[in-house]
Amino acid sequence: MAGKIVQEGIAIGRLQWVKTQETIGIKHTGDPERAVASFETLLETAAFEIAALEAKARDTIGEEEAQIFQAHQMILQDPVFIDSVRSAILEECFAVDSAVEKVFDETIAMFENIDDPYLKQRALDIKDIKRRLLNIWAKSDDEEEVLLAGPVILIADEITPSDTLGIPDGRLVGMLMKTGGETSHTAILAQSLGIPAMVGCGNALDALGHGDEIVLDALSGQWLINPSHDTITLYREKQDLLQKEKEELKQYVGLPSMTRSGQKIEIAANIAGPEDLKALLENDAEGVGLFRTEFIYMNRTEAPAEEEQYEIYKQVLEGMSGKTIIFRTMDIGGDKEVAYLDMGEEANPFLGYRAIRYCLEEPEIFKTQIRAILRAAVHGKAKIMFPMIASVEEFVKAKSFVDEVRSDLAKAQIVYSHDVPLGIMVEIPSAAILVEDFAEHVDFFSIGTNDLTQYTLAVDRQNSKIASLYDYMHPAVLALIERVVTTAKRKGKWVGMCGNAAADTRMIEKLILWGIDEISVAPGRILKSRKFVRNLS
Amino acid sequence: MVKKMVTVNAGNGIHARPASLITNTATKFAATVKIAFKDKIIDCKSIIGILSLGATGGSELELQAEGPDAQDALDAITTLFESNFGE
Repeated sequence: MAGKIVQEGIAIGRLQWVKTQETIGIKHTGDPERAVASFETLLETAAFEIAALEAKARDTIGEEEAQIFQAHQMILQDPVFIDSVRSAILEECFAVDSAVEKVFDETIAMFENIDDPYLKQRALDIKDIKRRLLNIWAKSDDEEEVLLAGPVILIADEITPSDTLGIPDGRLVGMLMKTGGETSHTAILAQSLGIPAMVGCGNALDALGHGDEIVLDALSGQWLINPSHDTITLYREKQDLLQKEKEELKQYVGLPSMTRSGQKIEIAANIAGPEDLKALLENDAEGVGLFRTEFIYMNRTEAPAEEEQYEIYKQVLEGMSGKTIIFRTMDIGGDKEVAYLDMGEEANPFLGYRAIRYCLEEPEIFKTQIRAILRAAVHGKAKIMFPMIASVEEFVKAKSFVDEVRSDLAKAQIVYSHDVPLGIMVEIPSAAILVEDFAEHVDFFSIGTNDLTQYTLAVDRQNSKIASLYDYMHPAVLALIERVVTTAKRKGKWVGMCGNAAADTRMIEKLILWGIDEISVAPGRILKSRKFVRNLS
Repeated sequence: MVKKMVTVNAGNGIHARPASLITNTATKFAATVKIAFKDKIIDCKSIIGILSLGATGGSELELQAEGPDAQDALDAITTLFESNFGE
């Protein structure tokens, strides 16, 4: 599969390729004075259009999206930008469009060269403004004129905020993008609009032509070009089913996750950052069972500072108004690489220098994260969970770092929470086998089934050739899970499960029988799991 | 002309929000306020200019103000830096 699903669903429509900007090149004007006057009119028209988009964004999407267009206005009023264009016209006799292109391309290059992922992202805004100006100048409002009839799936190397708003209400049904990741603007927008989308699809999109009808199956991560009538009917039925299911599941919002015989569990969700808050609230998550904090360390050039982490953690804690958030300390390594941490290449990264193994050797990075969590914890209810723990000694060592941070904070009279339980993620078979010993030290357990399965069965979960061997319902994996859950309960410890298996009804049934306290699933699976639990006897 | 050295305390450096605060503040004064950093000198009234500095946390910048209300403008922008842009 090429690309990453950022919003699940099925979309059927025609592909609208976002027109790539044609290069203007160097053209000259015979009347620079008049050209400058036309440029000023151009700016006014653009400001007017952007103001309209800002209002539309505020109405249809939200304040944050509207702020993007406020920033566009500010850039358009920028004296350096205006002066540069003006002087290209007056001094070099450039035609208006040539001058705009030249100045914007220089600015875009400058932003793309800044060694900061956030600022790099701003290059997209500048490209967006450039396209607007040049389109107005050419009077080819391409978004209006050549828009295809019927439902549209937007496809591009890079989709800008203007592209999505240029499509009339209700006509945009899907998005496909060559570049971008889970935190790209397109991903965030797709989630807030609930439009099926995939990003980072790369050159696989080259096979798709403008105007082609496709079925975008952003559930299994594939698309079908020019599908037959029967295929479309099939997918329409699937779509209807999904819609009905979604409506039906809404009735489970606000209900306890309790079986008919009164056994209650907590259904929490797995998240990567504050951008998931909306999904948590919509799906009525009872907590966060796994905050994958490593995502905060990814796609950047240096480790996030304590303050930045503090703000992010605080936002999540406050956003969940008092419900428990389990912070898994950063799990870098394995399949998640971070260049600036310089972990080196390994023959077997999943068995290598990763997660807590790295953190225990790099106490500064580790303690910075712990400080941020302990401080943020006063804004809600937090637990800390260490990943990839294989032996009790590792937990004891990790805990000693937390104790050091606590006493540093106390000495410096910095406010922090004194009530943050410490636990482990049970994902290495040795931890499951030694669960009884661990119970003497930890406050809680959470079973990570993805790695536990891969390590127990010696099956690389990323190797598609042996995918059929990867089975969390294997008796050996189940035996370890049962051992962890029942031993934890016998020892009076809280125990949950946060892997993919936690959303499988066959697993849920067993977990409830064994006495699990919590399961943590993708936000979109919460209500489905709750429905299942409520129908159990 | 009045000058002053300031340090960027924000961990993220001067990103979009601080940059827009600087621009908004600078445009309230008649004076021209510039920032010198490494080999660049930019006008504070330009958000693109400020962002293009690429000033990260810990960077030391020189503020230069010139004009009728130069001292007030300099003070206002210094305050922004000292308050860590309200972060």
